[in-house]
Amino acid sequence: MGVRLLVGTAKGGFWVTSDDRRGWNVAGPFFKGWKVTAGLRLRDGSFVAAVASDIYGPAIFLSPDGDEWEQVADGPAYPDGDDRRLRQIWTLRENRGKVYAGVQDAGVFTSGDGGRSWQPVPGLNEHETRAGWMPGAGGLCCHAFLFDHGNPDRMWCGISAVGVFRTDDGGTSWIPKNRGVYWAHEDEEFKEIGHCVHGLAQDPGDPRRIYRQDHSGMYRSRDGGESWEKNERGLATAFGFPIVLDRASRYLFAVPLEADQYRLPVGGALQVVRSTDGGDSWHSASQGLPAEHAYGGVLRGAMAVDDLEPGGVYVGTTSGTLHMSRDLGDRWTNLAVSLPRILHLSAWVE
Amino acid sequence: MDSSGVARVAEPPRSAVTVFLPSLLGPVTGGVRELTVCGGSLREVFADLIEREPRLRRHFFNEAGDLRRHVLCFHNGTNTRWLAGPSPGGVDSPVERTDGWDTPVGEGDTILFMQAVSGG
Repeated sequence: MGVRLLVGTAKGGFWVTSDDRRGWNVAGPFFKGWKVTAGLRLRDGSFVAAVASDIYGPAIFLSPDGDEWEQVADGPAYPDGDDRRLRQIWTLRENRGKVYAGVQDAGVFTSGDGGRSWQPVPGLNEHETRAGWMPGAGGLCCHAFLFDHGNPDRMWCGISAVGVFRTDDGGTSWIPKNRGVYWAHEDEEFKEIGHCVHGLAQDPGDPRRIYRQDHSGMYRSRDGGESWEKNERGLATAFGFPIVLDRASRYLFAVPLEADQYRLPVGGALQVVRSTDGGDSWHSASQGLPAEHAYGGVLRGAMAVDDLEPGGVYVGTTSGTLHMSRDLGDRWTNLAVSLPRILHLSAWVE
Repeated sequence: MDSSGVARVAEPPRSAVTVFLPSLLGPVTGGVRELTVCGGSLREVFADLIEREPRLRRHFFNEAGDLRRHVLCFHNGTNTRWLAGPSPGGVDSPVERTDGWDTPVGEGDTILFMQAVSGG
């Protein structure tokens, strides 16, 4: 089976495709000059892409085939006259026939028609703690969703630098779930927020088991976010942005960076760390990655898995380099490209 | 008053204006870079433009209804921001007046949208 990667960069999108995960073809850029910030493939095989411009703002495009794109007219938007600005769409996910967009300024919008029209989620967007929401260095953004596949009323979202929220009533109300996580900044009034979640992953067999790459380190929850514990055994540095999980093996992958003023690969060596025991311990899985003079960071959206067996893992850097493993991180190859700063990676089997 | 006894109110003149769009917005409009819109003032021209190409609305105007900060709009070569005159709050006021948008437009006028050259 082949793999199609959507590589979203600061200057456009690229398709990187392979029939065997050995030889790769690169096509693009499309949306030339636009940031491509998120991508989604719907159940019907069509594509949704989020783009943004520092000049012209964000937009959502739809495509039946990845070649012809059409911007939707009725994209996510805050109301006219609102103090908030829609600056970027950070993540797109589909669950139970509904599409979810996490945006900056932080909020959630949903679409029931495959991304053609969008509605706000007031219970989150107008949350009682909103006055205390503070942006992280990347902005005040909702960038992650998790779903409980056994409970249609439960889902989670991650907002930087606010924390994880959970709803148990289908999105009507949302409760911060950050107990045990260090603050990034303490709010005077709302003590349950002020946490800088960077990335989230979830065990497909137990949705209560959640992994969290946070500004303050690596965490795990075994109870759906009710409590969090540090799980950093084996990590030389627990700072980083993305965390992904391979569904079949349940191996976890992350990219440690030197915290937090620097945000660079430690010692100029690009490293991926892997946990094969559900986050109990971590070890380097970096054979073949640039071991010296590699100073590109890895952003929260720039790591993906393909869900083949054995699982493929993909990493894109802020230097525009693209690295791939077809054996769960045992060995890496580096694609001979020099792309713009990589913001987003999605991988689909086809 | 016409022969039917109905009073006729004279409508303000509406002129055909040519709008030029930046190349970066080609994906938004399906490659259209130039189009003709109608109106008697800049405000009406903008409204007609958004009615014809609703996808451009949020790319040119923010949630407050102002031109996005780094979008430049020229009417016959004049920056439309200069048409507003001094802000009621003084030159340092953050309030951007939009009453320059009532500037009349004439047949054959041009509207050129560009992005500001902000930074190096």
